[in-house]
Amino acid sequence: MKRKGDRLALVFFLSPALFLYGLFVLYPSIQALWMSMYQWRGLGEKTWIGFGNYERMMSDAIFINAMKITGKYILFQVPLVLIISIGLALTIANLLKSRWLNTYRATVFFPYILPGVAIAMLWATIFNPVSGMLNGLLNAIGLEQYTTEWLGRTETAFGSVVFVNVWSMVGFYTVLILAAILNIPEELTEAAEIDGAGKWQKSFYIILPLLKDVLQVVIVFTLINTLKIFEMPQLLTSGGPNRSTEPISLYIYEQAFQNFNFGYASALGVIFLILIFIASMLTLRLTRGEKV
Amino acid sequence: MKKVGMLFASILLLAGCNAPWASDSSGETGTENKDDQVTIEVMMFEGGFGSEWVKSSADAYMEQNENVSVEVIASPDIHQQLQTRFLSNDVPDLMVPGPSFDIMGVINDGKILGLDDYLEEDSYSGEEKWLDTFEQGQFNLKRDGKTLGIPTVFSSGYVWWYNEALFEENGWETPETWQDLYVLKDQAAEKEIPLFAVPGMHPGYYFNGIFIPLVERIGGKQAVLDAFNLKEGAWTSEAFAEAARESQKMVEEGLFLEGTFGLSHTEAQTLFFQNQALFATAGTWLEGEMSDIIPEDFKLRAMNQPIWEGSDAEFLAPVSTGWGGAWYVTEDSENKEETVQFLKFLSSSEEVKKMVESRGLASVVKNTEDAISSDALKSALTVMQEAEGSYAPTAINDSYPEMTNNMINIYQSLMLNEITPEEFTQRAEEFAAQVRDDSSIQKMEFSW
Repeated sequence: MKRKGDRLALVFFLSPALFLYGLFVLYPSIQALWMSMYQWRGLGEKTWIGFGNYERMMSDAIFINAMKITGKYILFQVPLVLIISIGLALTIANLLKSRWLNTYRATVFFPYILPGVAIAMLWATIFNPVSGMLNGLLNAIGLEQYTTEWLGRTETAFGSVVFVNVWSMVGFYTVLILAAILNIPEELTEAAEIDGAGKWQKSFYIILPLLKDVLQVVIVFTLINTLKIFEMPQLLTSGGPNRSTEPISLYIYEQAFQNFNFGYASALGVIFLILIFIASMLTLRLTRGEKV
Repeated sequence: MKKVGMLFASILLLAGCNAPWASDSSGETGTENKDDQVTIEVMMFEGGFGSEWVKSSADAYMEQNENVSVEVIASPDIHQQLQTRFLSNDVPDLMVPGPSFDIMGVINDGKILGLDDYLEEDSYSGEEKWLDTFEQGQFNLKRDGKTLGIPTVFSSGYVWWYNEALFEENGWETPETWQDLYVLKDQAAEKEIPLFAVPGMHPGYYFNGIFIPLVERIGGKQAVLDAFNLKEGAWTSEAFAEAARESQKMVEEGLFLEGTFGLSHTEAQTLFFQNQALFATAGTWLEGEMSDIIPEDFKLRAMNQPIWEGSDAEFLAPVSTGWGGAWYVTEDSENKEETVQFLKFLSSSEEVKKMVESRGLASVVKNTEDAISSDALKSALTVMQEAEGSYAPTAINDSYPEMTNNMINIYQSLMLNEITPEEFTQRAEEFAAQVRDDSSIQKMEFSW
């Protein structure tokens, strides 16, 4: 009887969250799946076309390009965020553990608390090819041959967007890793010191292996956030020049709200959902390994 | 049982009172019966042109017509509200949907009222036909011969803006031919000023302000019409090929401000107003949009694109299609007659004059030119008046948005020298063929 009562309580307490989840996540997802079978402008009559939208996707060069660009973002952004966050966290922990820790921690975390629009405006101003700080600096130090239209040229736009994304993301992950480092029992590092390990030896042979769990979390989050990347390409380059910075999410937005192809956008959304699901499953599977 | 019977009779009676046929039986409609209170709901896009003039006209109308209440909802994001309203079949009576709303979608769906019969009626003042109160140059919001939208604000297409004071000061002439541009370029180079500041982040500004006008100047109206009407081979025609070659040449010859392809539209326009470039391409909204930063001694003037030497193409002026900025009465409005009556009032020269005076706008309503105080706007109107006719470089935006986006993207690649002019025209033709061959896309027949 007690078990039944527990179950009822469980259902009772979970039901509000389940209801909201169903209403705002499950229902729209199922609706999107249903809508992906139609040709629909977002208004008026829907025409059933079965898997027509999915067939179109296979030969849509722009969709294939958006997939590649998303892959490129993952390829560059995930390792960069990971490496820079670890590097910063280790540096702060090693060099400034006593006096300036909080100052550096707050400074590194600062970009993360800025709104995306503010970050985009800030960097768009810096990248401004005519009056921006970056070209001004390059000119001032005699490197004028490197000045360019950072967000307007295919060669530099992608790198610029990745840079801004990484800049805005590393603060959070650095603090996360730093917290994990500070939680490592001091006896372990002291023992290593007694055995003659230097600062970097301690970092590589003692601290890093103990960070496995938190690093897995960092990878999962960075991967999923990079897959969903939308804000910076939209605000900095609108996906251009010539779609060289346009990830899938931006292409979905373009199809739905600029081209008024809501059916096709829904089909793209379904594929996008599956991709995120696979990425989440893969990373969750990886993180299920034994603890150190 | 008796009570149940009485209740049933009462319900029938009440239902009868509310039923649509109830007023018909008395022979009175909402307009005729002055005791009936009518509410007209207006939803409008609020951009650079504002909405105060509509609210003020609504107040004036309500004073004159006590049985009518006009509710105006204005927002820059009105398209989002409109979409949900149309989806739930709860449409406003009158609307200006703005540039982000799928107006073609609702037109295809038969949700917009045809206005031709009303346009044949008397205008609000009763002095002439309502249709005759409009300048006809921009009065072309028709689908299958049916007039659907009423434009009130005059909006030119992408013309070229320049600082007349700067030209006078240096003794420069505005270019009459495209080839003159290169002479002007050399003259301005002495002052280290390039010709164009364009927003590379939004290539539509120069696709519509340089490329399509260039095609028109080289191949004439028909070349543009053939392309917009998706005629096979039109996008690879000589006019398009030449315009593509010329576009790339303009970049190579340094006609554009260095760094311009990395700028947003406000950044490019700001540099133009700082005299760091001679021309900016934009519509008549430019002055209102940048009013905060225009220097006092800046004489903002509009000019038509120069002619192409050796071509006998018509000298036309670009106009905005204006689909998003026009007034529409919805087919499902329950107060069509009253709404049209209010629209007649709103588009009467007396009311429009107030708008022209207060907002510094120009209008397509006749006899309102005198109220224009802006010299910049007057010069844009002069561009229209001095041309041999008009054409709409942005006409495909509403009808084939996906194709237009794709065209603009590859035009940007052309300007960045990433593709050759031949590749550009070839790809443009492929995009046009995709639309041509897709039977699910409703085709539009353009004619100017």
